[in-house]
Amino acid sequence: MRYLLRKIFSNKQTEERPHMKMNVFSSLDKNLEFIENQLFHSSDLKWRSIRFNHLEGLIVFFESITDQQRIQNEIIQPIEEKREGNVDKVITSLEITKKSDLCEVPHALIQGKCVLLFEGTVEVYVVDVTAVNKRSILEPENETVIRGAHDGFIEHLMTNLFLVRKRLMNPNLVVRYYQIGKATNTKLALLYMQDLANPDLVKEVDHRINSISMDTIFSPGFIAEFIEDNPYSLFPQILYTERPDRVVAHLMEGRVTILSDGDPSALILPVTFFSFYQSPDDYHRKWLVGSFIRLLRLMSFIIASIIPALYIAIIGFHPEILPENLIFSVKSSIDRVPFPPIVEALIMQITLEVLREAGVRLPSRVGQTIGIVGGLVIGESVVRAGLISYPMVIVIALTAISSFVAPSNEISLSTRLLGFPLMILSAMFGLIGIMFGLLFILIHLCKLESFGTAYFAPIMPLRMKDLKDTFIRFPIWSLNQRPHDPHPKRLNQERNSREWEQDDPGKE
Amino acid sequence: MKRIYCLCAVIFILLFMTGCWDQDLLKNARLIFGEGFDLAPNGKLQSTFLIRDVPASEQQSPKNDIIFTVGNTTRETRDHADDQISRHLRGYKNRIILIGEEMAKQDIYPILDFFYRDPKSALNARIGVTKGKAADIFSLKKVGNVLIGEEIDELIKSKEETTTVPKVTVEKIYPIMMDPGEDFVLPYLVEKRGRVDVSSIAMFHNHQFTGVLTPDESIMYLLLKDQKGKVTRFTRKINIRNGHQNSNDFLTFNVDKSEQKMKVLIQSGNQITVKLDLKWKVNIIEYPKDRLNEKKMVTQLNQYLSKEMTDLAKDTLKKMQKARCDGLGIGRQLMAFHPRIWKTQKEGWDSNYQKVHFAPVIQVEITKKGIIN
Repeated sequence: MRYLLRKIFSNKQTEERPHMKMNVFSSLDKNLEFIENQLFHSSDLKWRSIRFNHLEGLIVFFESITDQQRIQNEIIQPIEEKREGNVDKVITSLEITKKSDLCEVPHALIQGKCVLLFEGTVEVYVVDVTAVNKRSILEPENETVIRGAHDGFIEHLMTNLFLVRKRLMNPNLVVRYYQIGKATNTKLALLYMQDLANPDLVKEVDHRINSISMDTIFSPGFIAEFIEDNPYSLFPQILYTERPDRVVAHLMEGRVTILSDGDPSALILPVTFFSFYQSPDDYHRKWLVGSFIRLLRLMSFIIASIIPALYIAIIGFHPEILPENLIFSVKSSIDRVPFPPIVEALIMQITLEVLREAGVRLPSRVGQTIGIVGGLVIGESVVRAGLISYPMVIVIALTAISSFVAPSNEISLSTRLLGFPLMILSAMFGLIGIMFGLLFILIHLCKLESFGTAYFAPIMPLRMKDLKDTFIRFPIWSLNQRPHDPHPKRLNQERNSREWEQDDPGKE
Repeated sequence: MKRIYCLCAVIFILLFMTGCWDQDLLKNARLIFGEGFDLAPNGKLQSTFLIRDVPASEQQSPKNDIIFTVGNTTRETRDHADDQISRHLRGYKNRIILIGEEMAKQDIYPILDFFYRDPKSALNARIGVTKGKAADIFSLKKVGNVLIGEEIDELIKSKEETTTVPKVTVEKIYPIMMDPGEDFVLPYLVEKRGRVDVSSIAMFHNHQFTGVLTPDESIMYLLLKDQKGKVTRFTRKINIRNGHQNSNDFLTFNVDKSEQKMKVLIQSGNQITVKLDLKWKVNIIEYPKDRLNEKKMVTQLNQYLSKEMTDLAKDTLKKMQKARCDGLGIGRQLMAFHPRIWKTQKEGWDSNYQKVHFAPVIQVEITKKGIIN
């Protein structure tokens, strides 16, 4: 594995295009001509001539990604006022660099910088005047909570980093930038806590990010697919979130977060199966309530993946296990259905998936129509027409509802997909088929590993202390240690926060 | 290469399609709700099958279908019934098995053997003996507005709670059947003017029906066996000479708590004595004569009821001995505590059981008198 990675890595090194160095011409026109040629006479490339120190000069910039107001205020205005002096001192911008290699100029231009050229000077000044167009910080719609922080990441990396840093005012928070995608030059940020995150983990993540060699990186999904351990597994191994509080909580557990420019999702890794069923909401509620709801979520995972299969197995193979009062009402409904139970279930399940997908794509106003068509027309008429039985509609509805309970969309989709093989197995072998299917899933879960962390962590390998925050949420004052699965440098996170109980002399 | 793919596909399909052989769709089943067994005139077995059909729409009520078949064995009669009915006859939700009186007088194990062997049979079905033919009770079709099968099932269930009949299912009587030291009893069903009456117990000995206990005796038997249900009521005529009047008044009481102690003693000459001590805490439910606030009256009643009940217990045990029904499992007690005696008594336990001396003592204590005193 490592050998393979190294091989890929070395491949990348050799593939890198040869860097050509070219000195800045002393002629302004020649320079401009070179830049224009390099950028293929793009229409949004603009320039303006200035005069400074009695020299003819040019400001070259892309009008599309530079803030022209800033060029006006920070470059042109000072230069026009002073007329002579040192360029570094006159220009009021934050970031200003000198470059003597003309080949670097087009690269700087496309990053939103503007370039100052002067007649007879063999150096260019690169000034950062990038325009920032960002939306406001809103609560992520797919991860809403009732209590707790209502801010979410946006498509601007700096804002996202701001949100994290603001919550974690700690010098140990380290941000590492990466630029990946040869064509898109997407900016990535790797975040971790220096004093918590396991160095091996950071090294491994760094290694895997560096080995990405693709020209376009659209979304974090690309990065996830490049770096996750088991791309063939049905289970998501990287947690996506748009919530800064969630990122901070995971950072403080010694995990690593990847943020990318242009996308509000943060990738958290390595994660366990159970972290997909934790929600920031759990920690805002009282611990008993939080525990109850978390148990409910885990139960919904089982319901969503097993119930249709179980129903098929019972109707097709083992009707005797239904209680007598139930069996007659079930039988009365299924007697008219012309299909075997598996076909019935597949029709219903696929209809549901189609409805769900349609609901996502449609604008919310039309979405209501989907509700009516799906819920009333299909749900009711399909039974009236005798195509599907009532219990099957109930089972599928229950499955759908349960699968939506999961706080993470990724695991919810996986769960529903998991139902299909189980359904087929149960249609062929009954309960034994389900048993084999579940065994297979369980074995797979136990075997799965991501970034050196067991995926099914507190259960396999079993660690009793971590079970405190797995199925149920113990009171926070009892969670003395961090979860062990990301192998953090320090385990202790809390000690005797309720010391006042002993201190209080008035008590008892 | 193509051939290998083909082969793989075939093997895969063949492997996975084997499961379909075991398929037993509920859709294709006709569910038996009750089965009755009677003796056919020529010594054959006459079976009655009560099949429950449920209509598709919710408004219509379910219907019963009855089939009568004659054959040599239980399975054969069921196969004959299957021949006469569409789809597959399935017995996994059978609720009741009724055995006609004449049939029950013979060994009933051969009838039930099929139920014990079939892994899918309903072992939690209730079982009972009917006065006359089982087929006659099933032929009632409906009692009031309730279908006969459901009626019998629910009736026996409710009677189990009032300590009238024992809680027996096909499964529960099996170990007793196999035990030489114990006999089982079953509910006894009587058809009365278009209704089914379950208030007494049919006694068995060696898998054969040997007699019936009266309703009061049935309750007494269950109390002696320490199988009290939720409610246990007796109504007694109180005949205490109390100064002015020799009034005939009745008293109904409920046994709230019953402590039972049974001891099998061996006395000289291998005389087996069974001591049965019962302590009852009793709640007076109905007693129009009242005067229960007098302490003397209460003690008098305690004594009276104790004597009455002890007499009833004696009668019950006598009747059981006469029927040779070892319903209390005295033989089993002997095996456990006096194995040497059992060795000598084993041969001819039927007649030896009748010689067992029972000494029941019942102490009644009135603890509650309702809310008016």
